[in-house]
Amino acid sequence: MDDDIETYLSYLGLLRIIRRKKRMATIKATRTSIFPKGGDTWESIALRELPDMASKEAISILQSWNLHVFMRPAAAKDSTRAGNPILPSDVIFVAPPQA
Amino acid sequence: MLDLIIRNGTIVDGTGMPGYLGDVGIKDGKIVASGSISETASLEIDAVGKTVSPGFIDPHTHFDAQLLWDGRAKPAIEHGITTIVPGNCSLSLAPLRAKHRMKLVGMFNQIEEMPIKAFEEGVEWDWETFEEFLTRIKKDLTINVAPLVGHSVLRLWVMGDDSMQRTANEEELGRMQDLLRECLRNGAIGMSTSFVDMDETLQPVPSRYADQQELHALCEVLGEFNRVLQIVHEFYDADITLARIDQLAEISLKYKITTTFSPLFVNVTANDSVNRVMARVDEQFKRGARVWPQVQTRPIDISFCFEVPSLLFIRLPSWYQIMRFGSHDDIKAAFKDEGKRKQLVAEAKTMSPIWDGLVLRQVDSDANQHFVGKTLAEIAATRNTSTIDTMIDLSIEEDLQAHFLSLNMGHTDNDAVGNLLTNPRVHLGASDGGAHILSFSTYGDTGYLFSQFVRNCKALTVEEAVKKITLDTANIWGMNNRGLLHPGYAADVTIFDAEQIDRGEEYYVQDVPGGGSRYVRDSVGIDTVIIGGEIAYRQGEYTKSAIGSIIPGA
Repeated sequence: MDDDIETYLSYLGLLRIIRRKKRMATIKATRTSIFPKGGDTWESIALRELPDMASKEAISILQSWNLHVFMRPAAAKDSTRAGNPILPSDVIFVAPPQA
Repeated sequence: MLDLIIRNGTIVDGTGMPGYLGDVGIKDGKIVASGSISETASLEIDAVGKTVSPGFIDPHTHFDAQLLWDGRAKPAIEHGITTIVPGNCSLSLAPLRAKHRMKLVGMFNQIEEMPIKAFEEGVEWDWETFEEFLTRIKKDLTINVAPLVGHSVLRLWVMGDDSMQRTANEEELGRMQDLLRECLRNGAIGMSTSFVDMDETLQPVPSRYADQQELHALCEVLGEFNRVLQIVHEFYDADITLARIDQLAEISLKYKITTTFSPLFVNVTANDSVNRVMARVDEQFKRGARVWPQVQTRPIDISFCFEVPSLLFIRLPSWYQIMRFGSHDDIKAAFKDEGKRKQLVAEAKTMSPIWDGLVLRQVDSDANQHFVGKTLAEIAATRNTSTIDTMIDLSIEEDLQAHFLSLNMGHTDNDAVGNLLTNPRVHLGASDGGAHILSFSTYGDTGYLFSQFVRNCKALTVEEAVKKITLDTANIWGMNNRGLLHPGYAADVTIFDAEQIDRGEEYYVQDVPGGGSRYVRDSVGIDTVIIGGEIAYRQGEYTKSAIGSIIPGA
């Protein structure tokens, strides 16, 4: 009996997930972006998000896709983020603008 | 016997349904009857020829400081506004430890262009907690206040200077959650955060150092209380705005809360941007998320003089540096120095079209009075010099008291703005009341809604416009029993002439503590404003005071 209830509940849970995924599926794709992880730099984001690209090229492309961050003055030398303009709350695009 | 009856007005009750001739009865601060009322009252108001509507609600203001010296938030009430939401964009004046006061003043000065002297001379700092702040403003509160608590101040309280350096650790997250709970229990209607603002040292405000984990932790608390999240986003970039809409949608779905972002402008050179944003908002609403864009009615006009820093110059680093960090004498010295002046002129040339169209709006000297009302291009032609040089020369001649006006800088396409305002998913707001006081008058957006978008463009009916700024706003923000003229609802009422209501001309007044000035507008066509059943404003005169409430109360 307990097994039946558990099966029933997990079925309901599954149903909810499927319904949610269906709703999600109706959303149009937009330009792909991420939020930085703790201590992220251009290098670490490039390595994680554009792994098939040479590091230097990947960084350069990332910066060109994210001028709103790249053009920002880097954090002060005495800051824990010294030299890094990326903030934890930033939107970082990992794809080019859509045509 | 009732306390007050408004007789023979056209009742536009906030639902959007057609107005009808009738009476509104009030007792003990509540609407008790509408229609034809046979009872009598201690006081009756004849509203023949007038429209009687719920009091207007302004959901995006920065009246936080002004409420400390002016519980009426003048001139908001005379524009028909009975409820304001302060504390937007990650900044509120509480909770605030004594040692952080000047830091927060610096942020208000930089972001909201509030003069530091007003804080120094107009504010008695006798609070630290959110509850103490509300007790403080309640002493003379005439307008209703639904206060947001700012994310940046929560961080500042818990993390101190580290709030402007790094993400929070687990222990700090827990303390921030507890602090937010305390604020919500004491009457905060939600929390605001910012992804764009900079402090007085031009470094990001504390909320921008928060990661996703922190934002979610705080929104989880908002979910416990069913309260609102407001953000100011990267409104100048449609792609980032779409990403923020998706971020808010996930938060809204996960924690079952209402979210709102501001501002959303119509950009004449990129009209498609606003369509993309609204399409995304529609998609997210269909998924069940609540992500409300806030749109202001008025076009963007900016005034400035070189005595105070202006955000108009934020993209011109050499100018902004001297305006932000230079003294009066430093600025004049820079203008007079040949080399420095050359650099400033060269940098300003990148924004040339703006300078040509600037209007000289005010000077002190008699010698230049005849130029007032002319554009810089016109004045430059008579002086045989460039517009940028003319701006600098006039500023030197006037001891930095030459005031300039840049008109219609954006959000100017009335058809497009009108069309946007008719969208049921657009939330009318973003007035910024109480802020940017020397850049533009943030008052009169409600009057402009009627004059421009009801009477002139005919984008909305009176009933639709009233609904936008009453019931819709109350529903979005969860302000129970506000926004309708129905029995049981709070007796916040605005009586106005639908054929006349408008904003008056912008003018300059010196009524800010510390000898400060600001631009304001009078209202046109507002007859009477009632707050909590008491008459706060009638036919040009402020009447009762200390009748406002905190919404939602503790």
